[in-house]
Amino acid sequence: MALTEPIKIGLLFSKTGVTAELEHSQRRGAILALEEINQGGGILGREVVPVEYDPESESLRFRHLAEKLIREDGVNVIFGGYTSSSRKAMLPVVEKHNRLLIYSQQYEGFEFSENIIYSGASPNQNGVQLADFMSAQFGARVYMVGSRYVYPYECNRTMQELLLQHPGGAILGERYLDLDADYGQFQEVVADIRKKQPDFIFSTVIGRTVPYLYRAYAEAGLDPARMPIGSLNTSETEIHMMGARYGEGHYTSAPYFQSIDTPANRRAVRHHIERFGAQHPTDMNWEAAYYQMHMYANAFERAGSDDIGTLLPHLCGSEYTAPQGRVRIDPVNHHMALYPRIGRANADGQFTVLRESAQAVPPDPYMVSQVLGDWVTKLVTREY
Amino acid sequence: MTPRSDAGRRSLTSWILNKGLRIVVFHPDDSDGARLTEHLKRMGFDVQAFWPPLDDLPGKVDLVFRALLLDAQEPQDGWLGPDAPPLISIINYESPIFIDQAMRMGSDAILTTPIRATGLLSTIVSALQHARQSRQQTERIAKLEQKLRGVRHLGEAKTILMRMHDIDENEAYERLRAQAMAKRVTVDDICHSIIQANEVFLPGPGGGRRGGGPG
Repeated sequence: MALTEPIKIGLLFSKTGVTAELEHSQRRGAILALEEINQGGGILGREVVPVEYDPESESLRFRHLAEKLIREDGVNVIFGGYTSSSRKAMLPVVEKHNRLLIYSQQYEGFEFSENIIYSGASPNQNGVQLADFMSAQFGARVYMVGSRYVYPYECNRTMQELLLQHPGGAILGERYLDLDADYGQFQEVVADIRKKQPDFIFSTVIGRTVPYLYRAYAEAGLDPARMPIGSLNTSETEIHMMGARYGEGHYTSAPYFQSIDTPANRRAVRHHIERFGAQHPTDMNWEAAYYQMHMYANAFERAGSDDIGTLLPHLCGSEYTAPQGRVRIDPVNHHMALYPRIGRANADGQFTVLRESAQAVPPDPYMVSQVLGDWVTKLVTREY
Repeated sequence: MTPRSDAGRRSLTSWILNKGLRIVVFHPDDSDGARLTEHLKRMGFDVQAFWPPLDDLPGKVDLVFRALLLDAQEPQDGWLGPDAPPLISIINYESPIFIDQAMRMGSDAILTTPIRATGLLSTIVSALQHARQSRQQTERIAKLEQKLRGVRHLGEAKTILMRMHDIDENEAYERLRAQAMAKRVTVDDICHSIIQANEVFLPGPGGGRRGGGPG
């Protein structure tokens, strides 16, 4: 085999379906990094060529397409997956064939596979910070609304455990709506929120329905200055989907916002705008997919192969100067050391970063030692 | 030297395998459901599979596998309860929500998908054995509690007789035993009657002395 032969990697980002907009953003991050890698001479002089399929936001298609990428296209590494259901669908496939899945999305934690790298925040890197911030600013009486699947259930359980440590903590409501719920169902939930008057709303609504919640909230005349929505997944892309005026004043806890002022982020965002146009924002999904592609390429350079047994020792424990800061793949649990931040959506559809961690916070996917107010790393107040 | 009993020599696992156990699987008809039922059949169990879950079990069932729906609340199947057969829950996510749900349902073991043939037999043996031990312990505790009540009744009854008839403890016991034999009931029954009669007559000012023949 010639050493100049292209390297094939598998990409599974949905172009259609309930989480397509977010996966498009993931794809832009992955493609941007891939093109940067190829422009820089590829990996060990070899061009990286993506093999792409559209899983259509359907877990079973993720499973079949992962199988197809491995069996028919012969890829060793697959990038993709948004919902936990999609990751879980691919897990047995990569384990069976002993291939690597790089999952670029925060999730609820409580998982480990030798064959998966978990990018994006663990619950101790976003949920704990949001609980702390929202209860200190607005109070600990929460109304929880989410999509009907494992991520919201588990996030809400974590949020509940954290808030109930607070003397005034209370759960005033807990509602789950389908990933394809309609606007009317959100109006009903918002009417209930209005009646119950929580201190804040914790949203784990996912994908296409995210704008419904924020719009129904605004149209009910509720005020984000008094009773805001806090989320772990509402990013610039969801704000773009709903329109900046609906998002303004609400909070998101995430390790990345487009507004982060680091040299690496300025450079990556500039490339992004040149490549995809300023109409597409970047977001936490974009960033995780972006840095993970670079980390893969760097590990491949050192390993000389992307066979999982050869690649993993070079990937685990490796560091990279990502747009959010210097990140690291934890060699023990395959999750990321990241920089928790709290952002408030502004009138431009961007986030004003209010708090950030001065150091990378190690991942604790099993939430072993998380207590409200007892941070591994205290956040520093910022305003940019 | 006495020969070893059959039960002592026989392996617990092969005993369970050879019992012809009836297993009901409540799992969707997907690849995990297929792998589970196929391997159970491969091991020689009598398997029936249903989805959605039935409200009542189809006859006598020795073990149930139940897939937990991806829902925030645990299922409320009609057949669940203290007399339900041993239960092995199947969860998709090994996270606190689903593990806790399985435990609240009284699961004797939990399997996480993807289902593998490896580990299934040890899980079944361990679940059945723990369920059996737990049932035996429950029965034993019930018996011990009853025995304890008997001892307390005997003490009370003896005290009543000793006071009424001004006799010693041995004499009181002899009278109770004789009464029980004569009436062909247990000593505990006699004690119970004496205590009841005493309770009836005790509060009344003129009642106590005429306690009379118990039963």
